[in-house]
Amino acid sequence: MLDVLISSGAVPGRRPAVVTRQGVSSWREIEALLAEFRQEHALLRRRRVGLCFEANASGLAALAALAALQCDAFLIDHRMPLRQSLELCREIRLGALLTPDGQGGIAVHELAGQQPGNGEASVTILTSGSTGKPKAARHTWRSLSRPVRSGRLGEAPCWLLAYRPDLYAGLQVILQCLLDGGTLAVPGPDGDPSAIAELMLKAGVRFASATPSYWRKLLLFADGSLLGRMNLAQATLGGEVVDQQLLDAMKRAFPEARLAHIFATTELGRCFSVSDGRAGFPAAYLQEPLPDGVELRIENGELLARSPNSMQGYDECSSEPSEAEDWVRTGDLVAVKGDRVHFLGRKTDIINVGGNKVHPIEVERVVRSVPGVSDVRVFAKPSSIAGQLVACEVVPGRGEDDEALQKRIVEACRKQLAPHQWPRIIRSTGKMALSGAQKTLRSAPG
Amino acid sequence: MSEIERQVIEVLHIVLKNRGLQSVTVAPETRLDTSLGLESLDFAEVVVRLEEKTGQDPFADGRVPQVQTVSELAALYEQG
Repeated sequence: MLDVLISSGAVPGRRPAVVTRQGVSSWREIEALLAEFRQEHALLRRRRVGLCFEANASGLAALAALAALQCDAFLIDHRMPLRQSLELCREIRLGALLTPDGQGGIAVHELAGQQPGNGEASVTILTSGSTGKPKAARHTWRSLSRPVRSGRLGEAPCWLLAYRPDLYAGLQVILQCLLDGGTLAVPGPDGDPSAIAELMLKAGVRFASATPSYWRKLLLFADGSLLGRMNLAQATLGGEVVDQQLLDAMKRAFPEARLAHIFATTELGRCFSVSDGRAGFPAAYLQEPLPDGVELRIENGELLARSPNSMQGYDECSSEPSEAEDWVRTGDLVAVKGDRVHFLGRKTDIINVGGNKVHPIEVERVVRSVPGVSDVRVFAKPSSIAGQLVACEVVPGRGEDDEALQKRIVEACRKQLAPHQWPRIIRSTGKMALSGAQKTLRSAPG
Repeated sequence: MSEIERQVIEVLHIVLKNRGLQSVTVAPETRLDTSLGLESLDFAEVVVRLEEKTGQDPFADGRVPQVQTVSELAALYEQG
């Protein structure tokens, strides 16, 4: 449990805990804040409490305090406006909401009419449901910590936190870092690639995990001399399909680093990781349970999984039924080719062109390989005649002529793709839109 | 020819060029059938491109106006 870790003295107090552009907080500071919060907010014991969670000293201390007070902690995006957060907390019947008080402490907003808590500490992650109401996936500290492997590194690691701290991937990085007695480097909210690279160098980041879209942004737009000076021991990709082109680019950019990509979901937790430098995963993973007990199978082209790192279930006040299923449909479409299973994309991203299904990722692969294309996003364009057409947005390389580039893209698609897969509208843009979770937006209207 | 006819012809030329059919000349009386070399998805593309230019979609809401020629297609946009 987070609180036990922090107050056990396992991490040397003076070691930096969090490094940002503004400054450094030590583990000792967090330990002191934890003790203060536990005492000050003892009345929260065993209640359902929302936490606007930011990865800084008071945020980590607040989360640990909620663990110590055996609360059901519901993590909320700290960027959400207060009124919206309060509404959300009321909707899922929480007893209180904790927000930063602007002075390094926390403010408690009491709410009426709450559900009784579970009686033991839990962490609930809110993900966007397809109907708009949030899905609240409840984990225990145990289920969250289960995939974390500590003590293997022989060094106190400095990790880049490139994920939202209130979501599963971010929590994994935080826990992994903590268990190894390390330091978190947390970039500012503006997402400027060169500023991120500068922070990584300043803090001495050796371990970094981020989405493919995030890595691509860094590789494309961060100052190349900064990237060249980085001394990464490990670079991990997660949260989106990883294509071979990006893996190869990562290998070139960080030749000394161990490269891995992870498959995990909020509901299933961490499922598996692949570090052989190839996209997809070994078909052998389908044959028998993996070392930590995860099982995989394919049904109608969709990947299903069963995982001991799973959540307990959905919170009874959220939009989904409360029982965690046995075999979970991941929503990810896959295809087996020889000894390899390849990811085709999310079921929900499929574009339906006059009845013909198109996977955006397949089209992106072709467009991305056209010389002069730095980045691409393929999405559905509504069509009164065909239902949907394929459209794409490209980030041209520096100095590229838009018209000539479009011509090359059209030709490449004509040669390599079927007519229903051709992007019918091609637009150039300065930068690619990413979601809050740093993923490429494929269902956003173009 | 009218302005909208000119726009329709311009869009048709772009779509034809993208299909490798750049030598085809399009005029107001050109028939919009398979003799032009366009398939149904190409026509869908034409309509989407024209919507971006004009803000109109005469085929929206399930409408199926009959159009045989370029000028008949253009006429749909003039009504709107």
